[in-house]
Amino acid sequence: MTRDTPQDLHTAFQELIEAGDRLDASILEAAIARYPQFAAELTEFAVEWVLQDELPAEGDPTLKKEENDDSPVNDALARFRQQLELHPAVTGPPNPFAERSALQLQDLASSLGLDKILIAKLRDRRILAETLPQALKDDLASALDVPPPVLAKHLAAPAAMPSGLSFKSQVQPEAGPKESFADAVRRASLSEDDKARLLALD
Amino acid sequence: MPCGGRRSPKTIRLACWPSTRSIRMETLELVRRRARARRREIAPHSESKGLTGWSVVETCSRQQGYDLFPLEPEDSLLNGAEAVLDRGVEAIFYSADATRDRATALIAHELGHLELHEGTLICSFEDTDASASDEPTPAGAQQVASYGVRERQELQANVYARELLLPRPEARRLFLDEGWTASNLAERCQLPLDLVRQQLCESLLTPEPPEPDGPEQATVEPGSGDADLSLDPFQRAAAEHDGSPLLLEAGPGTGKTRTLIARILRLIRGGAEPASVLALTFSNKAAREITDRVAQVLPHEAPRIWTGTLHAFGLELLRQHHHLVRLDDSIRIYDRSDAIALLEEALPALGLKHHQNLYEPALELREILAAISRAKDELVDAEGYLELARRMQIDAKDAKEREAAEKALEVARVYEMYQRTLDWRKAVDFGDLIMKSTRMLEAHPLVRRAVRLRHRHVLVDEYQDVNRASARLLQQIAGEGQRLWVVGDSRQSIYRFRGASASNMARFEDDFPGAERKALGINYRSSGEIVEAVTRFSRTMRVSTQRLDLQLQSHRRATADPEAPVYPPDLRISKDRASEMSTLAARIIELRDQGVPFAQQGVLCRSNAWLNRLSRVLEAHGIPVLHLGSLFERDEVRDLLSLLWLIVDGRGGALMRVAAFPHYGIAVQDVHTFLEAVREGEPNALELLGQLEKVDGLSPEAVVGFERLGEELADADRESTPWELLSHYLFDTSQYLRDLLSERSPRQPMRCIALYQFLNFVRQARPGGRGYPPTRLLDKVRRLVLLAEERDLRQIPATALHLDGVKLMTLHGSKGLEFEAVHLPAMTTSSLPSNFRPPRCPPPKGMVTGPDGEEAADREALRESHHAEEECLFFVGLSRCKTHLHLYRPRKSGSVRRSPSRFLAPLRLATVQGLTGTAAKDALDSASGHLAISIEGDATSISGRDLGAYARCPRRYFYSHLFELAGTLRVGAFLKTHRALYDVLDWVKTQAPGPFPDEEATVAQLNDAWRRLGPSGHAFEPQYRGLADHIIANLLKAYAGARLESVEPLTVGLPAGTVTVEPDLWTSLPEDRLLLRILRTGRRGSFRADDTLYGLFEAGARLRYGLDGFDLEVLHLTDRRRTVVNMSLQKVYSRVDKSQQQLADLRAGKFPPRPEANTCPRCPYFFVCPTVPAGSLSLKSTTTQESSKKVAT
Repeated sequence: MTRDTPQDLHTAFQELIEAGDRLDASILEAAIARYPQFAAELTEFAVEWVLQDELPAEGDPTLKKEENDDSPVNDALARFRQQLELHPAVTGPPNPFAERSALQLQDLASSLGLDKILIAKLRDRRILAETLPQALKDDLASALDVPPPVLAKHLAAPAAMPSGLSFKSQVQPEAGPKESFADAVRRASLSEDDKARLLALD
Repeated sequence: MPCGGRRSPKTIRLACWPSTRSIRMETLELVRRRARARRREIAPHSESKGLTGWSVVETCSRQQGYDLFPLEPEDSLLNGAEAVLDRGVEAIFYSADATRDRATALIAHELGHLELHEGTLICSFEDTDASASDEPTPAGAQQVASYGVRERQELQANVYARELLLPRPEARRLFLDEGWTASNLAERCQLPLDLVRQQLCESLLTPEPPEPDGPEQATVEPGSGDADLSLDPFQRAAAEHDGSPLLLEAGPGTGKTRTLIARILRLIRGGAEPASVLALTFSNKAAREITDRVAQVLPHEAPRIWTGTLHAFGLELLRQHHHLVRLDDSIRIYDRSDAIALLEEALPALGLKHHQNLYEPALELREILAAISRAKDELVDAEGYLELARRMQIDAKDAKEREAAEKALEVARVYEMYQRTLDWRKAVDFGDLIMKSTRMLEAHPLVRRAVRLRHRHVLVDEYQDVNRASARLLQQIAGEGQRLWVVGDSRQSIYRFRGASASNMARFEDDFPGAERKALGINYRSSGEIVEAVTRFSRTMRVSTQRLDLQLQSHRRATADPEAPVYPPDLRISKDRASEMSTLAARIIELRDQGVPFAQQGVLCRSNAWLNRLSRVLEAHGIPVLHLGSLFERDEVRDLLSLLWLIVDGRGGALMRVAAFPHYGIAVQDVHTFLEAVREGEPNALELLGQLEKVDGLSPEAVVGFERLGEELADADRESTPWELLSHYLFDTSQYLRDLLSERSPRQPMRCIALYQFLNFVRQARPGGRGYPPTRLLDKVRRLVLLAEERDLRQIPATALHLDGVKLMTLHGSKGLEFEAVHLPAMTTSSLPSNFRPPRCPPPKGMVTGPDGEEAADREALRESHHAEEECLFFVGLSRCKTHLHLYRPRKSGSVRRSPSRFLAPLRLATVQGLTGTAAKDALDSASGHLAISIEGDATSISGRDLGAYARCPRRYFYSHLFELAGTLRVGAFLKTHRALYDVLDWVKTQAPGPFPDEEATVAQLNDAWRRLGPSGHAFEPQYRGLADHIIANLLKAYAGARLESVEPLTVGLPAGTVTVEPDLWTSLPEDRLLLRILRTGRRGSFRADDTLYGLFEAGARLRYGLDGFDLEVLHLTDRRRTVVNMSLQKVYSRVDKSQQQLADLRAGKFPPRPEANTCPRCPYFFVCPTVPAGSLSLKSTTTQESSKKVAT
């Protein structure tokens, strides 16, 4: 078991916060030496932590505070979460698609009668979990070889932008709201027959 | 993410550095070769022609196993972007809303990332413009671009996309051999037109790159970069330093950059997080070099290191924390010419006394802005400046000190207004990038702490270029500097004009207590003889005082074959400048014959003017040179500027140059005929090109030429951008480029490079102001030249550096370079060191202090600083040399003897007698400006004013007085005021003989003139009217109770003709004497009535009234100060002789241009000069009176 888990990151954050006003480059360097895999996250967190008093006094409505917990760590984490969402491997539940190659995902799509668009949306949690047909979820869990609750947890988590993307945009890219399964199928590149078959799933 | 700080959602996303696993840094040429290789896999050469862009990207994607999916723009997979490369599912998603050609370019860009890079990249719109140039223009606000790896990656993807869709060789072939135009290409290949035009620009105007040493696909593998090679003990000790701030003193050629890079590598290999490393430089070039060299060794980590200039870092800080400094996140940067445009119209409102130059406010503002910039270098804001100026006023002991204080107070007023305007516009200038970010960090300890947390390892290159503001910013960033590592050479401190000083290196231990110093001691560049010369000179330098002597060991001497020849440096002495140039040219050829290629030879000089002349001489000797000179004064660039002028100005003055383009070939007489038709009320010039039947007397050849011009400009719309107009003209409609490309001369490659540089500038310039876009560009160009802000555009673009030509550059420009042979000409007292010229707006007392707190801005301190910088410049020049060092000096220049530069003595050089020869002289004399002009009728009479105009610039006189060519200058508020005033003066003259008009009548006349001619409606009309009222009041005071006399103009008969001069007003004096007055509307200042015109007045008056019959004086109406004209007889003779010579030259058709730095950019004919189309010209004579009238209007 490596230390590459959310709990380890949480612990590392806690160390920085406990340094309080003493938090400086040396302490941060020492923390990074202990958790080199989180070097970027620790730096970002330290910066955000130090700067929290520079933030607007009024609560930012987009911040997602940890429920029933007003501890400084979670307060800071709440602020930091938005950035961490760009690193779903760190904060989100395990992504059952994560370790699969493009070829494996292609095979997966073929076996389920999906296309790359739908597979990418399932991978990135872009489809509202509750609109997915149970049969598809079951087939998907089976094909991914993960227990259905693990898949369900993944699909229910917030949408995220995966690693390995290059964007070309006039506006800043962002993970948008989730869409319904029906909309996703409508936008897929499948034939009308294939779309109809998917929409007919229970 | 370069710095600490709260990030808005926008910046969070922008800040996502590639979470890359690897990046293979390629030169752009290797990127192009990769793209071409990929394209060849799609279609062999023979099938490539006319391949559509879509078929290219579709096939290329398919070959790599990627699918293309058009998605609705709002589809969640697009994340708000236009295209997404998804490596996970091997797909490229793109917006179905994008046009086919746009989608093609988007997909090609992503394919570039796919092939060249790995990992996550989030690109902004600016990042992904596949039609963007390979090289940003090195002028204006673009200088503050960031040159991080991310920007390099986007550039590479853009270059890849363009090359994949339209390979350069194919673009060139289709354009040149098959006659396709940009529009043809875009249509047939279904590509964005702008992409095609840019690719044509790159492929036609830049030289083919040399073949790489390795195979096309070669990439630099980790560990093979030179920075991974072994270090000498000095370098190793510096690279491995830990535990305290380090200042590394690195003499020339000692491996400064290598050591800096080794330091970065050691940090990262030692576990430092790459994103915590901040490498600051003082030039984009240095930043690029560091980025590329680190990436060669650590391709995985390099993208996360922040590398860039201190100014770019300041900009990042301000963007990150814009809410703390009352700016928006999209900060606009004003360069000096933008600032002038901002201020010049508002200047009269400030009521300045000492710094008022309403005729050309830019000249005065240039000095004031330099003073403001200097203040910002010292972190002195407008309020602080005002306080210092007030202190000067309080402490002033005499009139001189009081005047100095008044001047400083005026600068403070301008500073206050300027800064207020910048703040209101949410804009900053270059100085603000450092000052505002420093002050922000000083005022916000949490932000400062965050910045220090993010940037834990700070490295600074060229530390000798740090000024006080930069040093303070570094203190804020680096704190106590435990991880601060800087390198510099105080003997190469050559940017004192912007506050950089070796004293900042001296203060390092004060700024960062506990700091250590180390030095590099082995020179790897130069032969033992050169190192000795450099060392000898260094001992005489001011900057060496109280420092250890330069101790350099020559690695080459230590490792050289004892039998190998040695080449001691020498001094070549010639008779005069022309001989000196011939000597230099001969030596360049000798060295080439001995195996030193032209490209390995550099001629380094103190001034650009000398280089321009030398360039002509070397080309006349058949030596190719790499020298752009002043970009906007080059023929090919002025051709295009004139074309823009023609499009926006219907009077057609630009035809003087445009008609002379080879493919029009219109004779000068035909241009005159055509423009006469325009003047006589025909439609504007562009319209008349389509109605040539209305113009009588054109030759058949001219009709063909004009028709062709009309066709090529048929759809030119003056509302279009200059880039659109020029690229359409060059790549679509005209023959101009094809003619240029078929030219066979040593100059042709540089002519192409100049156009490339210019088009890059045009594409990226976004000049503000009034008028059509081309008009704004033309105004901007004038301002850039006037302010000497175009110097950076003289740099040879990187894409042309491999051309085999001798590099001509200034000593400033040579920093950081090295040559096998260095030639240092013009080593005379008048050239090097250059004369000290104190700033017109010196810093107020107390603003600049030395390391010990002493005043460092009084005249003597400034002079010392100037001389110290000149020594550093010479030191830089000497130390660029590897093996062959030659210095040159002429014994005289013109008829004046020139003493050797005092820099020569310490070198103890062997001397060599220079050559004598006429080739150089012939080359320099070739532009004699002789025109074949015949003037019908009596052309022997001329007014003194006209002759004065001829003397100032014969070519301008030809354009304005003989050809009556319409000029470009706008009539500004001051000129309108001036015209109204002269209208009143003309009216006063009509009152003679009789009493001087009373106040009521004169003011009524001014009111009338003001309505007709004045700047009515101008934002500062009341101020200009106040000026006019003041001048008229002074006129009335000067002539209170006087009687005006009516007298004929004075005449002076000369062998070449008659010159007439007419004083403005004549009044009676006691004893039958007359007072002859010449009126000037401005201030007297340092005016002396000493030139030829006043000699003619004096001669004419003496001839008519005898020695005692008159008084002659000049009255300056703004300050009502009189200057008596009273020349000795000898001086009068001398002035008359000079007039005779001028008149004879004029009548002989001699109209050479007489360039002058401050005058030319303000000349109405700046863009067409010195062109006159071929052929002879026959003109009707103009009388003296008519000519005078022309001058007045």
